[in-house]
Amino acid sequence: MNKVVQKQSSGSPKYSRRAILRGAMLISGAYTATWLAACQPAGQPGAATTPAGNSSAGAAPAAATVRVWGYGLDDVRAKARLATLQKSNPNITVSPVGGDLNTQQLLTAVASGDPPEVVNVDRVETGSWAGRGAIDPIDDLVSRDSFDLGQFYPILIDQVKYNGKLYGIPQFVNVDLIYMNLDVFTEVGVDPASVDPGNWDQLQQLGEQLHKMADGKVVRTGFDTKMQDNRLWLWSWANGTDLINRETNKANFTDPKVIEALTWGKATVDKQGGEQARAAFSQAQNFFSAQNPVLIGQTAMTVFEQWLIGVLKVNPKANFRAMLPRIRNTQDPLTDATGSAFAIPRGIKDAKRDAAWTFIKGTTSSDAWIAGEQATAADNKTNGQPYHPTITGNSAADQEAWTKIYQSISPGYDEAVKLFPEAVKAARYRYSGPVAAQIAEAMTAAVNDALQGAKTPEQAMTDLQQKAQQTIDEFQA
Amino acid sequence: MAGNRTTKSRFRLDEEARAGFFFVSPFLLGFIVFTAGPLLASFYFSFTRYDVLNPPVWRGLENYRNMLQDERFSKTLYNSLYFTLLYVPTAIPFALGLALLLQARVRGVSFWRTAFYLPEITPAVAAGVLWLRILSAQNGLLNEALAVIGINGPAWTIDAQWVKPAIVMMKLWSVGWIVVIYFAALQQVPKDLYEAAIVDGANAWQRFWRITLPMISNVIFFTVIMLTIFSLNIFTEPMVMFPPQVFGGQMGPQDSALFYVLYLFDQAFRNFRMGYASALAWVLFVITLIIVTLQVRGSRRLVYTDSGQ
Repeated sequence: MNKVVQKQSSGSPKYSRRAILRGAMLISGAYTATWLAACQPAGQPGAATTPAGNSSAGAAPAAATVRVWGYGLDDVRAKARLATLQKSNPNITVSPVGGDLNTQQLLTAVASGDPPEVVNVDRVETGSWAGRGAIDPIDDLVSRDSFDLGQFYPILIDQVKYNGKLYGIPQFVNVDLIYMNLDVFTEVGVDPASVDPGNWDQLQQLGEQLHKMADGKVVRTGFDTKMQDNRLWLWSWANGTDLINRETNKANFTDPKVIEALTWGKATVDKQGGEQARAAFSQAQNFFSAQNPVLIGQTAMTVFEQWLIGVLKVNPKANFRAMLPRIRNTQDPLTDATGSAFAIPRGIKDAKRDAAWTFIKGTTSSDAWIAGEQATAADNKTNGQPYHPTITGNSAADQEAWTKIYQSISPGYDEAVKLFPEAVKAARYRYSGPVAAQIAEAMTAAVNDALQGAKTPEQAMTDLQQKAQQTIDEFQA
Repeated sequence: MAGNRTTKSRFRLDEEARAGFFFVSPFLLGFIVFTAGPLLASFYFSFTRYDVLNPPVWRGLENYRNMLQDERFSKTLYNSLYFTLLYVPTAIPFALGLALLLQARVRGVSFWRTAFYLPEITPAVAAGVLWLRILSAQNGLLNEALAVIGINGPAWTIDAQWVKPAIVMMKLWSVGWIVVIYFAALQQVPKDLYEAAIVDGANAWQRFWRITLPMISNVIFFTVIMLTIFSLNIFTEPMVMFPPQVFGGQMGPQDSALFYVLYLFDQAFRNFRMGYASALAWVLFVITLIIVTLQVRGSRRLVYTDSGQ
């Protein structure tokens, strides 16, 4: 230090080196390790058992508040469904926590022995929760009440089974469609009727033809395969294979047909400026508005779930068309069904379990769904908006909504709604085993590495194969 | 007997010490229950396979061995160290420069002092959305400004090479708390030192270099350590700007915004691997310990303390 400073030191802040070091160590340790560890189970958790309790068959539960996580009551449809339930069960009240299910919250709640009575889980994650004993099977309740599972689409019931036991009752369904903005097709001079979703060469060529660049940036996406967004499932099915063998629990990412699908997806986006340019364009878009990219022609053709029509309907005259994806080189339709299901967490027993089951039965019944759709249609009418139907897990309710409650908006919307029954028939579902979340994470990382050119499709899938199989094996061990 | 009495008196607390412990007892209790206990528990969990829902199963060093083969672990470590090395040396001079400017006696200085602290109290989510707009590769304000002077700006949030510099820029926006610390430290530098230096003919740079910097060096050192720790633990900003939904499950393009604690959180609460996450936490703790120790050792010749060193 220089002389000027040494002359006068009073008045400078006092921090000894030792004190700083000590404080830093403390903060560092606390920061990185503290919040991780407060999750010790309160009771003595073990493998999931069926908490039969001592409830009597079909008896109305005593007055109870059902806490439901991952499901809000802030829309008209949900309120009407609850009202239908409460007509026959006025003793049930519901305390919802809306938005996506917070897995951290649910983990700690189950571990501490105080979970909500009902959770609305992503069906893909049913196996993850069931495999760890976080949710309980409900076969005993179904048998006790002779509950008719036939009212739900069979594929959805299969999806919420784990090791042969039923863990949930399906709620909403999302299926993939291919949307086309017909104004763009007209501008480019392509007949939309000529589009064959089973012809991959044509889809790729259309992507190139329909896309538009300006100053090195994408200003219109030609065809978005959504490969970057978990659709390797869809395109692998379309190419005649699956990513996980559900019976043997073996990963299948190095199947030449999977690699071929990914290679095609990469080539398709490369012909439209590349994945980086697509992502930049996508990030600048305003999806949930009248500026939706499909609506305003920023996207000419894309794979997307059927609920997109709910966004598009801000313009009832939107000039679009929807089609179902197809198995490659065939006319056979194919789609990917995702969505959620109600389940009962571990630790919910006796009267609480009865109340939870009453809530689930009551809100997924045909009557409840139909009341929900009618209320939504009435509310839309009041607000001057057209009604568009959804796809529920309940087939009878859907028939009513699609054929009786829905009123024609325009040919585009009518055609889309007409595809719904065919879609649920042609639907497949993604692997929903106990390590589904880890595999999905690893898969999207690998697919994006390939699309962005960080790895070749072969490299990405080879690495993924090893990782996915290791994850499956580790869990089974 | 005399020996016993001496031993007893050595451990007996005088009234002042007892009062001291009484007053800090709320913190001590909280620390033991909410920090020390979980901290020790996480050390145990790091040697187990533990999914939170079922009892932990002892697996020895398995979690630590798995890290060596985990490609994403090395990526997160690289990302976090890269960010720390980029951010800390940038933030310190930036914040010090702002603190020096805020010392100026100009009209409206109170407004500026408040304005520079405002980003600190802006919700991280709002700030993240704002910066996405600024940094957008398609029509972002920053690239449009660069285009005016003929520079073709990079794809800040899309190009894996530019994601971390983009986050550094965003973080620089909210250095208000460091500015406040520096500002307070600058106020403590005795004015007569400057007067004496002026009499000796020292110019502004010499006064800064030979008086200001040494006199606040201990505060700068404190902020270096704090910023290092905070940088290694960065979480909120990348989570807001690069949520996995946007990049198909990745944190930014090619996981370029996947920082260590984000990965740790993901392993604990999404993949049900609390044991592995605990091991990750302890490895980060050791890494932080080593870095901070090196910083402390390196500081001995650079930091001025009351003892006149």
